[in-house]
Amino acid sequence: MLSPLTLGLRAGEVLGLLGVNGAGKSTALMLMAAVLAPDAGRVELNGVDLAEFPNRARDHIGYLPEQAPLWPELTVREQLDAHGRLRGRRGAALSVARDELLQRLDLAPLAQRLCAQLSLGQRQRVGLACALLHRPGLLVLDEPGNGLDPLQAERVRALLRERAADGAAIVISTHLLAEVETQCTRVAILHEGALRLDAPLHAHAGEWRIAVQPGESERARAVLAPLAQSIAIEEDARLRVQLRDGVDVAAVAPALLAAGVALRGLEPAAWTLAQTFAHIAGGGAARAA
Amino acid sequence: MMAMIAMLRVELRRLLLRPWPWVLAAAVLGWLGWNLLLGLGEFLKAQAHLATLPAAPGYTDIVAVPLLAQFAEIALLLVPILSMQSLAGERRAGTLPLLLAQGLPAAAIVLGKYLAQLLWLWLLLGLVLLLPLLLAPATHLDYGKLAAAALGIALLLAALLAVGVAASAFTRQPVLAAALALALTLALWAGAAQGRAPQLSGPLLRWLSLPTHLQPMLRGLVATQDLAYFGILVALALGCAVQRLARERAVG
Repeated sequence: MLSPLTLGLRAGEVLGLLGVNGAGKSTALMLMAAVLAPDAGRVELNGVDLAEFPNRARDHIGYLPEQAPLWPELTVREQLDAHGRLRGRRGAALSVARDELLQRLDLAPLAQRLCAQLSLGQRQRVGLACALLHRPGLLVLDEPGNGLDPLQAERVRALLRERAADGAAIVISTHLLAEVETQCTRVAILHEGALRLDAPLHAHAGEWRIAVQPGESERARAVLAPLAQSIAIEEDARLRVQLRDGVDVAAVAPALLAAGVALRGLEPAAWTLAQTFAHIAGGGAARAA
Repeated sequence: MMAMIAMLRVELRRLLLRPWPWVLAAAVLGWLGWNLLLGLGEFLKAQAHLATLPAAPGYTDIVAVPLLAQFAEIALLLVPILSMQSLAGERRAGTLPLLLAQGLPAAAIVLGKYLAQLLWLWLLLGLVLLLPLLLAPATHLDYGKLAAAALGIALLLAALLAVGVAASAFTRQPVLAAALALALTLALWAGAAQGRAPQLSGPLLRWLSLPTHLQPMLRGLVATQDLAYFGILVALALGCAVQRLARERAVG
């Protein structure tokens, strides 16, 4: 059961959907992929209500469920062909797309193998190939990294980055926070069926909280001014500093020390994703929601 | 329409690649082939007696049509086994959400699967028909009567399969789907007992029963009302399956 939620996704955006088990991630993904129709409200794709026009899903949505479901009697090649035809693809266009994905996902050597004989990681890649085959504008992926070794995972990440650069919007549900941090531009956290956070992932990148000796805040501000885009003194001896683009945080300490300002603390101003997730999953309110 | 044809192709391909439908087909053909030989032996033994009768039944009545009637009885068990995987199997394997995610209308999924399995059953019927036809050059075969009987069996297969697909739409356990389909099929077949207990079956029950509409065709009589009965049964069963699947998309 999901509480009312509004979630928008623009072309090229990669949204990481996080939540503990039972938070409602899979239900939310199935709604986005038009597998389920909502009891109330709308799921729109380019302004079109999917409940009214479910066929839109056929052309514009690629969906990979958590356990890539495949027909065991078919070979990998037949599986892709079958999915392509069900999506209305035919002939040379289908063959080219299929062969490209077989190559890109390192499935070519498995093309004639029955899907019943595939390992978990191989099944996952075939499932992903099925979802990508028709170059959908919206990709909905439930745990795409399941069973993949690091090399395969990197191949998949590269392919997804390319698709996002081509304008595809991608939703990835995962339990791996590192995957979200490396892959996504936005993060949403669901907890107990409700959306608790929806924020750009790197909104606070470059923002730091700096602690100095009491009474030295003004001097620290003056020292850091050339490095910073903005500086706010939050309380005595604590500054919130947004560094200029290209300025490494490693430059802060030497600058302060050179001016004789004692540095007592330096930490990211924003919480880390892990902290945010732990806070929300523990029942706390979200800062960015 | 294109979605339905694509679904039919996928399902037909899967059906042809699975071993167990072919094992079932081989068992059915083996059993019926053996019964053809037995029926033929009886027919040859009765030749002297048949020669004395003015309008004696021939090869078609004594061997060919009873063989098709036997196939009809085997189909009562065969079709639920074949159809149990159609939607329940997809649901259990998790491939049903994938089909729904491809925006395929519920009707295209149901009809594609139904038609693929029906084609396979009709192919088996064609092979069964070959058994009595093999002896056609050596005997007098009533092709009209045999065609009517074959039409009756073809329609029976279509109706049983529609019931099986509908049963499969309501559960995620293929075995449960087969049991449900078998129970429905036996309920529809119960009218066969009407001869032995006429007091238990009113006109409605008689009309509802499958044998009431199959028997005339096995005797060579094709009536519009019998064709309509099978058509209505198929439409109702498939309609239920489509509704169930559409509801699954709506409420999960």
